[in-house]
Amino acid sequence: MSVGAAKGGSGASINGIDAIRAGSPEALAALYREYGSALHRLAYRLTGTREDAEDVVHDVFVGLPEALGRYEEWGSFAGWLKRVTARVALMRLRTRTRRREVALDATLATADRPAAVEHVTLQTAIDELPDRLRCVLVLKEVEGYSHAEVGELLGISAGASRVRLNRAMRLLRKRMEDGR
Amino acid sequence: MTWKDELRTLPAPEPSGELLRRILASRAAGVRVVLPGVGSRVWSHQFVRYAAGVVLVGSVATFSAIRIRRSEERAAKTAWEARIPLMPAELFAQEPGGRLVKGSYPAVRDLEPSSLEPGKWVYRKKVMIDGILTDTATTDTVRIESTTFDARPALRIASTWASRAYVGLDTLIVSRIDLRPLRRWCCGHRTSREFRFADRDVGPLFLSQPAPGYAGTRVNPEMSLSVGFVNFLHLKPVLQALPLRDRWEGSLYLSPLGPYDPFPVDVRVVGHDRQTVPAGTFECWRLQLTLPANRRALTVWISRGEQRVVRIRQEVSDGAIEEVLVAREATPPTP
Repeated sequence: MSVGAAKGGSGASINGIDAIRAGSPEALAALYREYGSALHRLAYRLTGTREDAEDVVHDVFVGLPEALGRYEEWGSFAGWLKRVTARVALMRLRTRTRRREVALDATLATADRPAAVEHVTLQTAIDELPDRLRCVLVLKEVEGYSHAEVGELLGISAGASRVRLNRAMRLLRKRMEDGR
Repeated sequence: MTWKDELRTLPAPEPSGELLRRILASRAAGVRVVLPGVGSRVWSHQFVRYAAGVVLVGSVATFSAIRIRRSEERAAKTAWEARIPLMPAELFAQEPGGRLVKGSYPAVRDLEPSSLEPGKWVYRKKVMIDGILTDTATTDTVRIESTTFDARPALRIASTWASRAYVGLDTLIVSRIDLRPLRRWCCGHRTSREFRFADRDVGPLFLSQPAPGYAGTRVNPEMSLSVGFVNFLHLKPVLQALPLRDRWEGSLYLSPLGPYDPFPVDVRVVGHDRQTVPAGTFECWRLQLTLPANRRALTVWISRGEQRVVRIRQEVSDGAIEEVLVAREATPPTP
């Protein structure tokens, strides 16, 4: 599938989107190769487990051909895709009791930075945050959504998003200070 | 690198190599997933435009309805005021269900007549809601003039409170000797009803004394002491004629219109501080006026030198309403 600037934004081309809508497995695979990692990363940060993250990405791509019928081909396709993924991940979070998984070896499988130990501490601290706080932290600070967008995704007000982010930051700072 | 930057570069595991195969296999097997709706921006913008249109139309309709209703209310209110059916029992919500309350401190008996000097004081109302300060167009002007009544020396105390839509007039004639009310014209919109006090036992500036066996006055516990009440009760001249000193306290029993149950108000000096208002900077007593019925309070600052009301503050649920002195004008004594 060709990849380039879509109408009004960057991301998959109109031809590629049309092909996915038509049910082309090749176009879907091309889209997965382009966005799969980023969406998995987002899902992992929101759900906190690899299994859940993979299930989220699986569900997103399986449902995508039909969901694209509602995509208006305006604005950033990547942004739309991330919002869909975030929604699916949040739905998953709501419907399960979160299994704690602090698999440091898996977390660091791709990490070969010199500050890896600090990353472990930060990742552990994030993992230990309550879901409601971690979601706001990830969406705002990592994914760069505005509080209004975070509020829309989580079904809360922008003010509540600010409050949760504040609490998450405080908890995170405290846990990191305690852990070092 | 701050830990916030660290947060953004935090590594996350890559999806397993099997994931794409799983996805394609699921699709091939006919598995379908209904994804949650995420509107595109086109839809959002259309929605915003439609919503804005609906809000605009709704606002215009609501505004028109409010204007019609307000004009009706204003007409009704004007008619009500023209009849001036003000009765203290209704005014102070002294309905039978109210609790009997008395003042908490000794009743104030005496005022200092010489402290009422001719002059004019202009106050402006300010409203602070959610931290936003608004200067309103509502003013209260108190004018004290020397006059004679039935060939006796007297003071005319005129209070005019005005907004864009309303002008309330209240003129009180009191004896210059003991400040006892002689006549009052109160308190309609541009017109007033006359009240006579010659045959009634009303003390200086409406202060009365609880009779022996007085059990209290029935006052609705929901009522609040407001800036408007201060004006209606002529509390400004009362406060400036009180013998104030540190920690002074006393209860006022007010009968502003005649032989009804006196209305108790507790007054206490709670401190002193400097107040800067449009009329200047004043060293002030800080007084707390409290309703014994519910302990709701009003704070009043009175200048320590000439003992004039400088500022009144009423706390409300999400802010405060104030009346501040914006101008004063001394009248030369009559030769």
